[in-house]
Amino acid sequence: MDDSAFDYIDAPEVNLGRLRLLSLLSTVSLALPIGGAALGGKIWSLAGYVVVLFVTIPLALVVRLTCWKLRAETGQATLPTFIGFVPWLLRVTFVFAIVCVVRFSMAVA
Amino acid sequence: MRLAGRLLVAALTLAPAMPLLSSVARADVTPSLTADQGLRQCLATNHVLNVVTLVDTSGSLGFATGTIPPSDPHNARVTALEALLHQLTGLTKQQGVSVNLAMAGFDTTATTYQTWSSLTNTSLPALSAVAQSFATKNTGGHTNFIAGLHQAWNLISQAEQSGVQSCSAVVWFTDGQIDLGTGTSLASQVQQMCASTSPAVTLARNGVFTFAVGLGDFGGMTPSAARELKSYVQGGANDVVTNCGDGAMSAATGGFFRVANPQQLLFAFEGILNPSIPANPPSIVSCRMAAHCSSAFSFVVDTNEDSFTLTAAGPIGAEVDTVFTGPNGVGSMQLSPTNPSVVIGGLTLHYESLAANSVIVTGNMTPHAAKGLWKVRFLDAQQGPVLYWLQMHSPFELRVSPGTSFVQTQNKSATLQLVNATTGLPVRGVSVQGVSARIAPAGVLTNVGTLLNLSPSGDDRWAFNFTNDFSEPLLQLTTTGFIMVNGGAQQIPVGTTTSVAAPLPADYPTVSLVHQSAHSTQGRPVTFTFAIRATNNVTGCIRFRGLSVQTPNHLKFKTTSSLANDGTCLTVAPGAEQLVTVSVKPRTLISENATIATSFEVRGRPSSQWLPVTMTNRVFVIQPLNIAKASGLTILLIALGVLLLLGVLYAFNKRFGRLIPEGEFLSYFSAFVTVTSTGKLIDLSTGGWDDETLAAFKSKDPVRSVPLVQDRQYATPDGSMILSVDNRGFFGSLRLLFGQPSASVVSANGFPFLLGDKTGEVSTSPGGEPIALPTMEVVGIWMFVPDRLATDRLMRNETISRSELPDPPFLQGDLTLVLNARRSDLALVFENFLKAIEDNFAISTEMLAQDTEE
Repeated sequence: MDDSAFDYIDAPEVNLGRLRLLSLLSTVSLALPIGGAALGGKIWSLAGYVVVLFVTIPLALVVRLTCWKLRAETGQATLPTFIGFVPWLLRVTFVFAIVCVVRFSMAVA
Repeated sequence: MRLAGRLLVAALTLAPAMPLLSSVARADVTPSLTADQGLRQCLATNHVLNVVTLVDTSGSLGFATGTIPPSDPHNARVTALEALLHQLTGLTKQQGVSVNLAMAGFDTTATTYQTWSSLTNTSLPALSAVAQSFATKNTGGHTNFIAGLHQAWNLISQAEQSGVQSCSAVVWFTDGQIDLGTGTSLASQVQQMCASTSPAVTLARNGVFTFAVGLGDFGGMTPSAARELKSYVQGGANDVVTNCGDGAMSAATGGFFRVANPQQLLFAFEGILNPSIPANPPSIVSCRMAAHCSSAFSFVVDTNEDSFTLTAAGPIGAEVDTVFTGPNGVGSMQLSPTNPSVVIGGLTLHYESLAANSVIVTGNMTPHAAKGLWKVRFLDAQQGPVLYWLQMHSPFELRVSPGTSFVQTQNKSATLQLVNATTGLPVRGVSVQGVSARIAPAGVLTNVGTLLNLSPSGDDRWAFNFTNDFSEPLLQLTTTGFIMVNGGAQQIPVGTTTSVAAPLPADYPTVSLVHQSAHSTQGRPVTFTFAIRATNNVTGCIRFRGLSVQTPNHLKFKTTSSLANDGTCLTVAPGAEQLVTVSVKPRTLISENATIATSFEVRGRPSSQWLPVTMTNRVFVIQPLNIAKASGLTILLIALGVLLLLGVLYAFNKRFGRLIPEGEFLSYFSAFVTVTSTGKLIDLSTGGWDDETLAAFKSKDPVRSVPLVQDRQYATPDGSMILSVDNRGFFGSLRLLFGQPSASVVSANGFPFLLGDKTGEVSTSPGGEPIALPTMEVVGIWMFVPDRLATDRLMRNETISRSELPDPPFLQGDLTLVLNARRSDLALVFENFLKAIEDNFAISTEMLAQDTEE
């Protein structure tokens, strides 16, 4: 097979370091929703909810989708350490988001 | 005899500074005090004085006895009595001391000439007339001290039956020894006078101050008689007994004054209560005429003086006139009974004749007009010596700063300063000498108490620190000092005695929160229970002064209290706790952390002051939950969140939801192949094995896919198969959260086909429906679309042995391999395809048959 005959373009590789960083940010950003759910004030709960929507979930999704890509390209069944936590984090995030919303509504109402 | 009056006058002057002493002051007089001091202390407490003047009316006063001249031929005792009455009258009015007076005389027996009478301006003329009547009461045969003192005691005991707390004194004039007229020896009479049953002892034991005035040498009061008389009022030894009264009398109960000259009687009385009056005043010789009289004394008037008092007693039997000669040629003016008031050179002079030979002149100055050296001469027909005493007065006083008080048990700094006594304004620039100060409980005299350590502060003030360890509610601060005039020849006292409050340390009831019914409320009242307790056994009271919201101030509460906010005072007795409840009910529908200030005022000690007390408590006011609103808001927010999440998912799906690898990186190999049921490629035209297809794949340039929807759907180069991600569309994005996004492959023409991947998994699509891949990964798959079955036997080919020759039917169709750009797994995928066809040959032929039938 003559590789030179085919002007191929290889797909960019997954940056594992960046993936870990995003995972970390996603995890850390969950602190505010947890605080909002615990404290229950208007400001805290609303802030927690907003952070869930705009920070935690997007970051977790980025990580998750990147993981699919990683798994597809590398064929590895197990995700790298720490990154594998993100799918679970995503599920928990929804719980805190709902708690924040409820507490905010109670505080306002 | 005005000075005699000052004896008691000075005592009365101090009285207001000593309002509180023991209720029976006479019994509580400090033993170390002298009688005059004790009397002052008593008056400071009781403000009622009972005075009995006891006058000797024996014949020795007015008539010679043998070779012994009369002791008071010119009735100096009468002058003294009159002066006493005048002084007491004036001070009664000024100081608010009530004076009751009785007059008695004694010779062989005792006689009351004036029963108790309140001394006022109204009663003064009548009492003076009684006093003057003593001028002719000097014919008695004996000198019965016992009868006289007994009579005095009877009068005093009569006065004290009124039950009013009072002070009692006897002023006792006599000139000689006891002579009871019983024929017994002098020693026996003296012993009788000193016995425990003596009225002298009775007076002393009952706290009556007795002042005995022995009239001079003229009457023959011998030293022995003087010692006896002294022992009758002060105890101690005389020529007969060693301890008269067995200790009942002492210097604390009586005073004795031996007046060598009746003139001195004035000054003797003055000196009793005014230590600044000398016992032996100066004297000058009077003149018959003012002209060419060289006998004079002088004094200087300057701006630091405002008045003076000149007291003089001249030779017996002649009127004493006074001539004042002013500076700067203002001339002279003679004061006499017929010319008692004059104004000269800024001096307003008033002449008052107390008796024929006694005078008191008061002068008020206009300082700048009267400034200068003044001379005084006395005119008297007798041209004898005149005793005089000039007391200059200053308008200034050395006082503690106004408003100073010394709380008991506490230390405090204070200052002394020279002030104008009238205006109270500080006086600066006047040099004050000999400044000292002593502080003592009110009613205690100036020679006790605490001597203050004064430190000049450089601004005409003297600072001191004082720790009030006294337990009296009022202190008296006695200052001494003088300003110098006339080059130091005149000293004008500026000391004074002022009262200083000495309250107990403040003691108020304490307020504490003992219960709060709730720390948060949803519109229900919250009740605070406050406990009020007295401290240090001080009864106090408390009143409610309302409630306010400190933060946030927009909160409103309805307040109810068990103690009305109308100034009602709830008494708090020692040992009895009082409870006050205050309830608040929020009137503002809002959730806030409220700080509530409950205001009280408590009063304890001092009882004249209210101390504000604010109790701050917190209540979390919770707005009642509006479930409908909360639910609606929750749903709305969740809906917004879901929408937002969907948007995010969509965006992410657009970004990440694509084939892996992306379509641009895929390589396609397509060929029409014939496959045997054993999974081998054959060439029907040659009847041999088809190795050329694989070789062609290996040598052939790959072909890229054709994007149908950018990044989302691709067609194989020949357009027969379409590869696409399944999570296309808005809701397809949810597959990012729920489940896993996948890809699918479908025949563009709806033909049935088979699909396999690198793992060997094979999927079939008999009806041409799409086949989903478990992931979006499409690399490494193969797709085979059966086209027809070849049923003819293979032609003979030498490369295949007869035993290996495959039997028909042979499956023909289009094979497409999807590989990555490197085609690294070409052989693997190709092998997977052959293996899959071998395993699924029957299925494949059935699919083809079924499709053909349709």
